Amino acid sequence: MNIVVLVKQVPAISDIEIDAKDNNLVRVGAPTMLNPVDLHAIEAALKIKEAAGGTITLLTMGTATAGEAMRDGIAIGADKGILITDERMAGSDTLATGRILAKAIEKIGNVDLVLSGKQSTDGETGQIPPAVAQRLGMALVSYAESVAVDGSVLQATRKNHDGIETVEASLPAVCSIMETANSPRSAKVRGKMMASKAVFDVWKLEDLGLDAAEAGAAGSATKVTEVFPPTAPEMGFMVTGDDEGQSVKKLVEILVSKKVI
Amino acid sequence: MEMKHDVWVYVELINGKPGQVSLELLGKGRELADSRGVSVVGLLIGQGAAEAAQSVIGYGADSVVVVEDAALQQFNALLFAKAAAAVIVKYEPNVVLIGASHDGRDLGGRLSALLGLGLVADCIDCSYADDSDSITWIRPAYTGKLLVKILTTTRPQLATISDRIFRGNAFDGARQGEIIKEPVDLSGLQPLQQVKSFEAVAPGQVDVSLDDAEIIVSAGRGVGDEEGLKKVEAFAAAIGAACGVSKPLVDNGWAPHERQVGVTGKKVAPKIYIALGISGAIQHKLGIQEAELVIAVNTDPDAPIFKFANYGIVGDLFKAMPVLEAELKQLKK
Repeated sequence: MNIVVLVKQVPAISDIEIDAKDNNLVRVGAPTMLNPVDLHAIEAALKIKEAAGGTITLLTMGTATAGEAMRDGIAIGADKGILITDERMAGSDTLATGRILAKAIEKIGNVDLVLSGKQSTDGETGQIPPAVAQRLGMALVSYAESVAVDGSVLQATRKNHDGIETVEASLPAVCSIMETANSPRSAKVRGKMMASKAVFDVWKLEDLGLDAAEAGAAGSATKVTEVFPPTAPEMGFMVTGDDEGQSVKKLVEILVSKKVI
Repeated sequence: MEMKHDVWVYVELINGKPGQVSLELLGKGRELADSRGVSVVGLLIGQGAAEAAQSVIGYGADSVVVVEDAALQQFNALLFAKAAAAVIVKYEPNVVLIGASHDGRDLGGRLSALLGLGLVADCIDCSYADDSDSITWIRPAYTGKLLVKILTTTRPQLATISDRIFRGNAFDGARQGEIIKEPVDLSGLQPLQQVKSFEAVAPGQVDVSLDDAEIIVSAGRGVGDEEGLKKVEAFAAAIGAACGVSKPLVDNGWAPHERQVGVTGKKVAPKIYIALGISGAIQHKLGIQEAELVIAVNTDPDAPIFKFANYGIVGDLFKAMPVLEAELKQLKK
């Protein structure tokens, strides 16, 4: 079983503060971490490898130091890591990122299963798994609450429309994993040693057979034009009426006009 | 029929009926279309599409494109994306709105990759910018600490939209519109996957927990007695909220400690926190400071809770609850 786990280095979210002057992110202290739900995807890969054998390759895309996030995965048992980094990829949206990751998975070759976390804490789109599945012509089970492989069939459960569905997909397949799917194991001393010494392959655009127009801002189709803080709701506003019923109705009108409900 | 530049809404069918978020998008789609003098087109794919088409017109679409095929019996993002792509390429809409359900996000992601289109996820607002045909999408970033404005440089502009943001149109059974059946060629495409079984989880079975509830209703000393607490619990259940209590109620033995909201109990972060009969001791205040919006009802106009609630009503919580329940139910219709 040749398993690829898509992982991402993200800003450590609890440390994020917004600079009131320019609305930019102020990152205090340890600035980055492995996207938390990715550990659950790696744990799912480890369980499948234990049952069926195989190799687990972590694949990430980001800045020159983004590969550091993969060490947490190596520490709990992933076999190796590949970092895709290239200045010409800066500003890639999900269209460009999906294109780049799909090319990288093709280059790895003979991949049976692509796992990922449900979404990243910085982008929060969840669009990469379907994008990669589409480009590779693979099945996709997103938001999996449980996952197992039986021969050439992926079995998973996912929440959908007020219920739980059981899905079977033929391999090769892409599957994105929820936090509820498992509890990631802790790293042991030996694993941490391996992780600290791990050397990752580094791929650039040319290694993927892509040109600059297909990556980064040039290869993207969305553009962030403004970043701004949400308006804080007013404080201590007393809603008054002739009786409770009238007050409540007025309150509901206010909430509707402010799109709270 | 000329449909170029129109506003399209992908209408997700759940058990043959348009899903709630799709109805909300028909409302927003109507607003977008009216601001540009174009039409709203509902896109219905799969089993039951033809039967549901008329109701989608009743909910505000000017016309409906129906795609049915033997291969589209159950939702399959791969096949649905292929079907959607075929009609989108044919009619060239300006925008396609898709509800950000799990299936909707899969469909959007595949459609984006298939047609090389930009895709914006989980938008909470959108409108046409200036006089152009460009939509400005607004979506939260960093768990809502920031909002970002995004433009899409490809056409049609594609976005998934969160539920419970927009209001659907009132149903009008007399509305007339064209229903266009579009054949689609899915030969040579394997479904690759199948839903083997589905187990419905009835709303009553879902125990709304304080940890992940969007709305929390909490009861304080103002409930008077255990019977009063039960009435608040029933109100919370009726509006789909989790029910917490303040410390004095736990001290009285009316509720277990797990349900206590406050710094000595659970710290909570709902979208809306409704404090009923809670005076607002400092330990309670600290437990709800991550709530996005606090509403308080208390008979005492000097209760400290009114200082840190966003909205306050001085009055009897037992008189406020039934009206609030009725108003919220009315909104859902």
